[in-house]
Amino acid sequence: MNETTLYRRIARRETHQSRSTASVVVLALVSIGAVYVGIEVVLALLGRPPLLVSPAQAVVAFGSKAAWLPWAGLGAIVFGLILVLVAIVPARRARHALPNERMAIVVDDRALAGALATEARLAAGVPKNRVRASVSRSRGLVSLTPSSGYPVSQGDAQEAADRLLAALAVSPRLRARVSVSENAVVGS
Amino acid sequence: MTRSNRILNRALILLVGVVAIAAGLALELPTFSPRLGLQTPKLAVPSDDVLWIVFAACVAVVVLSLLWMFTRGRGRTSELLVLGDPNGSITVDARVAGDLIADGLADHRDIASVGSGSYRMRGQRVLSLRVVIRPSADLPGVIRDVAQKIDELDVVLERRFPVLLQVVAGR
Repeated sequence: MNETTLYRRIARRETHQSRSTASVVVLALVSIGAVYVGIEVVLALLGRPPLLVSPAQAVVAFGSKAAWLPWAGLGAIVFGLILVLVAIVPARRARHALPNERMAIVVDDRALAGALATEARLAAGVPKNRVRASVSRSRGLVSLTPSSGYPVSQGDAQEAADRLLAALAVSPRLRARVSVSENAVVGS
Repeated sequence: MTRSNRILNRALILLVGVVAIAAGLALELPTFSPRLGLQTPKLAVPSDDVLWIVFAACVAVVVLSLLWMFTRGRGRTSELLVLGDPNGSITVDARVAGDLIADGLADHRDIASVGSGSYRMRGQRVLSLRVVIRPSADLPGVIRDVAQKIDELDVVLERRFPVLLQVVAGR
């Protein structure tokens, strides 16, 4: 396999959650059901009394209008719909992939937020404890709180954040938004 | 990181989900069929032959499920490189490669720690590096420096193997 393809595959695996735990849980439930049915079938074959219901009783109950039947059906439908959702939802992790020729790179969103915060606050001249940043799938939010009497240039900070994101070229693509708090704070 | 096929995981969950929905709809039939003008099929009481078939199906489901459960999550390996030779073979542990890179980055001001492991994927052994960076680190700089260490490792091992770099935030 060619290296680029391999790296793309690795990056995808690292930015999406595996469903193998879910598949194991589902199969464990299915197995428990199969073991139970198997036991009832063997008891019926041996002519012994059933644990709960014999296969013959189950078949008769299906044809009846027992009140619990539609509820059991509803339960099965809801369970099935949940599984279909689990199978289809992409399950992204809070990570972004970075393009690189030599390796597959994935960066936690928290690390990206830290890098954005550092770039923005250095460009704006704001101390460390006056900056907050968070990164979601497509947006990086940075908020700066200026010190009283030291005006902060939102434009400079925004430009620095944009430059960082352009240099990193993360995927899925991220847009930075820098906001400067209206209320400055006194002291450091 | 595992070698198991991720699409298969999802396909299996989807299959069980669809079967559960179908079974649920079947249970609704006797109650709602008169209103919809449908006939509920009358099921015969199962004969011994049918019971044997059901039993065999149950055994098959349990065996296949157990096989599936115990084949998830394989693929981790500690051997990064195995060089075969008529006179024997040389194995390079992933920890050696990881330590070489970690040592090279030990004095880096932006890096708190470096962890390593390796796994097999598509017949290839992939070195995975987990780099914990400090909160105010220069991210592009860190990536550049790690890439440089990997280039140096390529020279030392005289091999180029796939690398996964995970960057996480420390405190």
